[in-house]
Amino acid sequence: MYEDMTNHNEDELIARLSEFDLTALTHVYDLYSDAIYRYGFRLLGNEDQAEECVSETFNRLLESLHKGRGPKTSVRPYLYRIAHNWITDQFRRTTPTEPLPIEAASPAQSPEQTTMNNLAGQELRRNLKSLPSAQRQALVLKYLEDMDNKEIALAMNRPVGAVKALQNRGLKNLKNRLKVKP
Amino acid sequence: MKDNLHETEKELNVLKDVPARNALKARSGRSQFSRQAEQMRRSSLNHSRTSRWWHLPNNWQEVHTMKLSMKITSILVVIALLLGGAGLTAVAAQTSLPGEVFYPLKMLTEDIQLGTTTNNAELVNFSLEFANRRYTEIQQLLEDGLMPPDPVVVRWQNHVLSALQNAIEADEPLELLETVKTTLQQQFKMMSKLELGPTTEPWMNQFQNQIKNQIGLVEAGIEDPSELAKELQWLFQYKQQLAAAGEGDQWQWMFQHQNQSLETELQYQWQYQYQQSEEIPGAGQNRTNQNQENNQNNPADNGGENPQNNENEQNGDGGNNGNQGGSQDSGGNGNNGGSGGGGNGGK
Repeated sequence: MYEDMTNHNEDELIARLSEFDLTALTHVYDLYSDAIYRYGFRLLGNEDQAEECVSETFNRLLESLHKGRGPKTSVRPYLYRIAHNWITDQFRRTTPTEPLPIEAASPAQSPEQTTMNNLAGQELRRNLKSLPSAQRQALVLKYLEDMDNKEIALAMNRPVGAVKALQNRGLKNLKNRLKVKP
Repeated sequence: MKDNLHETEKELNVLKDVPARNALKARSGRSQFSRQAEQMRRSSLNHSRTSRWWHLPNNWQEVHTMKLSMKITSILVVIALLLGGAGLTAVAAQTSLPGEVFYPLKMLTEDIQLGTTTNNAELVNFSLEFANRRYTEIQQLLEDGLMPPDPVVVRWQNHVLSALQNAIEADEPLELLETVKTTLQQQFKMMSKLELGPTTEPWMNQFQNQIKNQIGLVEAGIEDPSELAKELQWLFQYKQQLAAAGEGDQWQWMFQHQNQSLETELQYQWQYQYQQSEEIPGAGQNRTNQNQENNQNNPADNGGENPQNNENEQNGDGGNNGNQGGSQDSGGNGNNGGSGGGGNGGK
């Protein structure tokens, strides 16, 4: 049953989700929860918060489906949109002076390398956080989540042209912010 | 300009590396999601039903099912009445202490309960309930100035290990591991409040130390479930080996060493599991040699912290005593990371 689902097309999957089909729901969770975790971690830099992001995203999916809403054309962009909104809420809640958490050391890297990456990662996160929400979303989905612009357009509910413009402006803004070291 | 932006694009790659997700948390999250989906689905179905608050059977099949269930209930009531005498005895056995007439019956009823349960979460709850019973028995005996018999502590130990094993196999491992941790913390707290005489106090300290280390094991397991699974596998295997050698009643072999920090001890535990896994068959001689090497390499570890340890080395017990020496030495290594012979302290 589970394997059958992988071959189902998106429309059928969405139809089954709207019927609150448990197999389809679990399938979607298995398919995308790790990706949403990575997305959450990349932006928040914290394992617990990334887990919370997964939990909140899928809870909101359930609630939407329960109310007769939910994805209409594609599931993945829809989930990323929910995750993005949740993360933006988190950014709003944290005070500007609050330090970003330190990442866990990766066993494949030397301690020096890990520290360097941590610092660079923290600075990038801080700067991404300071970008306008739409620019951040357009950048992260393209350069970190490797989505194509068509899919990003679905996730952001904007035309592809607008997404490209946001990415360009976002990169310029990010570059300017990275130049000015705190 | 484009090239400059390309550099910024590359800088974003720093965020691409994401540490591996905690398997236990991931599993827990999935199971929570499934449960919530199931609940919501049920609530939708209930909502869509007619608003009758009472429910009459709709067809003959439902009437037949109701009649059948009434018959089964009646039979069960009769059986319960017939077995009333035995039931009362079993109830009386629940308050018995080790060494009393009804105590074996108490153990039997617990074993039946565990043997007839298949659900992991229920098994965790039963195991913890029985671990609490063993703890209460131990406490009562200590308060009476008596030394608790080893088999009672071994049972307590087995209940805790069984709770851990079933917790990591359950759908909600994190929640259950937290429950195990809380239970152990309560036991540790209660034991701290005991005021005992000089005869029983050293024993109590040893037992309390064991509870503390079990808590450490749970905490480490929450961080790294796969290591906990391997560790438990080894512990069960080792306990079987002890039982086969006629030393199933030994309990001090695990977490014996009191002077090591908990962190060091757990670290040694993981290491021990790896070292030991290949050596379990015929552990005796190899383990002893390794102990000696370790002792030479790190005399600070030995440090006279466990006098029995040194005594056995001088006597050459570990090497000469075949299975017995081997298994006890093995236990010692697990406890103090190669300082050797901690298990002998159980003697």
